[in-house]
Amino acid sequence: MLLALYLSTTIAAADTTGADEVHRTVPPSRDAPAVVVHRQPSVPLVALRLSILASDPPGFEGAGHLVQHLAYPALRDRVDRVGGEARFERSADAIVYSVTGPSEELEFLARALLATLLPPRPAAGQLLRASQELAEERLAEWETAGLHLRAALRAKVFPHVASAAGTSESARRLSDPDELRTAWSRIYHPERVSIVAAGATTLRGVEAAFSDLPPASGSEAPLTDTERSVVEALAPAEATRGWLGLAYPAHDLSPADLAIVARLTERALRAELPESLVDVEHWWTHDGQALVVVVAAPRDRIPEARTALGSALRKAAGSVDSRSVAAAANAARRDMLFYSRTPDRMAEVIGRFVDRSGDGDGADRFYAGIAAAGVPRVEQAFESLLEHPPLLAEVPPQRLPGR
Amino acid sequence: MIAALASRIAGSVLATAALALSVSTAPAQQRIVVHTEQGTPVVASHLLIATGPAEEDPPSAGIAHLSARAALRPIGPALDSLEAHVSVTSEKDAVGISLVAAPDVWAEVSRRVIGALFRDAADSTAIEMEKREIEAELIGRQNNPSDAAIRAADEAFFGTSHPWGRPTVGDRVTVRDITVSQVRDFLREHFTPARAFAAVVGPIEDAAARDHLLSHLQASGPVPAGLVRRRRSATSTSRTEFNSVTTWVTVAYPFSAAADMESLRLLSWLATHELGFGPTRRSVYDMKATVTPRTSGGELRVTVVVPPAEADAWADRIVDVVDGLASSPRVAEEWDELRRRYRGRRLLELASPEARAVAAAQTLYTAGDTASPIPRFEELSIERLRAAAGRLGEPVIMFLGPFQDELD
Repeated sequence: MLLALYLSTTIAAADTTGADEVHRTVPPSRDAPAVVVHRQPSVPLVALRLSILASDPPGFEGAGHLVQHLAYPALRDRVDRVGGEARFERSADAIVYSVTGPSEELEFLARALLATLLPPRPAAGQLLRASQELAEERLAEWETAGLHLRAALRAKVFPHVASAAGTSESARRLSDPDELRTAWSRIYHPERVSIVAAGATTLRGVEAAFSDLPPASGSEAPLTDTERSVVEALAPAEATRGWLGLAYPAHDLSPADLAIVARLTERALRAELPESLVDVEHWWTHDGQALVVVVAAPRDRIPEARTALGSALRKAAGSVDSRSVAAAANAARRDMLFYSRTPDRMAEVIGRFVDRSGDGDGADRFYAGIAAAGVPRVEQAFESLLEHPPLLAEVPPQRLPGR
Repeated sequence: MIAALASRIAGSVLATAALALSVSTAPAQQRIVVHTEQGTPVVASHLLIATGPAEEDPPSAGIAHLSARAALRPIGPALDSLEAHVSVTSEKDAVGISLVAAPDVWAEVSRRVIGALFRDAADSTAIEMEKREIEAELIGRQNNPSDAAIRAADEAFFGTSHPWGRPTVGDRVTVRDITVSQVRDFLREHFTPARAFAAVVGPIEDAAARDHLLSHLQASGPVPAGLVRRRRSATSTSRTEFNSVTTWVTVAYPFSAAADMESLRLLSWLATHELGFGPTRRSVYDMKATVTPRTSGGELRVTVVVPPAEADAWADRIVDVVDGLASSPRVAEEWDELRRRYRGRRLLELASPEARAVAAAQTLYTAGDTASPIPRFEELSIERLRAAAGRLGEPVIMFLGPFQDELD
């Protein structure tokens, strides 16, 4: 899904300093990226996050992530020359590269990031190694019970979304370098790029550093197969505990309210199942939202866990009061501040909001939404979730010989 | 090379003067530093309390660490409810408490922590529970070769009868035998506001943070100045048997309180690159170089983990690298590139506000300096690097692991 990524038109003075300043810009032309800058002038570091909206062509799922695996070693080595760090991630929304280094090296770091946008020209060995790394990621979704359960739930909540690592069928097509380059030409367009910077830098500086994005290749070469690859059925994972999962699609709910519902439900369910692993997650991508409950219970606790899971949302809804909502909201707000305390994390948090909604103010709005949450809104969110039966997934425990 | 070094040191009979605690008094205003940072989303504070092994009886080794943890345990749920992150670290010359909290609750969190450390009566249940937890941690670390190498290096570097030669957090037996009343007495005597040094980093006004801390830390009293000076080690080389397949080789250099800390950090970073795993150093399983400032000087410690048969050669190599790096033609030729890369690595170490708070508190405590924790990289020079390397004391070399003659 292609999202428009034109951000708010507010342009702040680039050289002002102040707490929590976020500056953003509209791309001045079709070939310039959207830029968001959070100034943290006290430490001469800058974190740059470059994201390209995820849009693997049908039949070539995993292409963007494969290109990341190919581009990363050079990015890492290049950034290391200035003592910086590089990372990459294929989120549900975007292909993301991040670098952190001295703010004086802004232009150097930006050039290193821009090089990742060039069409891939891998040597045979590089392509083979990157393909193998992707295959390992696909296998992890089969072999690890927690990932397996989430993959199964993801396939139900967002049926058209394949694994970021693609499928074995798409991997076969992508083993042809020409096909990979053609797929990349469909993925990369300058208007799909957004840049988030956090640290001792300015909007003007970041805009200048990223003013020269590589052009789209404009290749119209046909891909061999434009049919979406069939998402493979997951092989049964082996687990020592029973894994149970529920997903409540919640596309129309306020993300802030849903985040509080997740915290309240997790707290209640953990108290009820002290011997089980309990995670209540707020899934939020450009495809929509869901509340996901995952429980891993010891074999003899599975019936109890199943019962608790089925009634978790209703019970949590029944104990909502102003105190619990305020506590959950404060915890969510402070967690967000704590998580974003380094420039790279700050860029990540802001960037995720930009990727999923195209809103440069998304992080601020979410933060404000949490601070403003109250009992009526949270109760309404619970009611809305309970209107429809949840989607289910399960990984039973394997039979183990007695110890 | 090591033999020559040993004879050089053996010539000097080592001082064994009685440990004397000198004391000084520092006004509370001089024990607080605030670095206001716009754009940082949380407030990080680091509190150093001037106490440690030098004030512990050998049978109660670890009581300073235990006391800090036990004092804070009862307020754990309250701190959790405020989403505050609090941790305790114990150094040879101080106990450190790190606090990270949202700006709206920082004052409350710090008030609770200071109250628990300096005013509240220690809870007996909390003391017993912390004892059990520390004992369990120590059991887990007992057979860890990395921990064993640190213990052996401390013992060799400071000497067996020196309080800093003991494990900073004690051992299973000493921790087990510490009583509730001993912890309460230790807290009352040694955990006092007059011994606290605090650094605050984050989006907070200098005056507001300072006033808040002063209201809680305003107290006069003796502050141990340079809790203990290191005596020169009785041996230049020590060997400790350990059941492992690799050997830990540690070379430790003392430096004075006036040492050029940033140049020494650069030296240790350069040593990491010369000694760590690489195409020509395939037998190095692990490598670490650290610079530890203390109130009475500090220590540059370099450790490599290598096959037993290569241990002696690697000890020589560490000494050669540390002695020769600063005057190496290659370092001179690549100076600009090396400094550029070091700047990035060092800034990444200081990327989190809590790391900057720790650095600021350590500088305040060890050097009385309130400067920004961000180094002035432009002032680093190869001349400074050479001078800092040249002023390092004589090294002490420690081996831990199986030894080749036994394997043969």
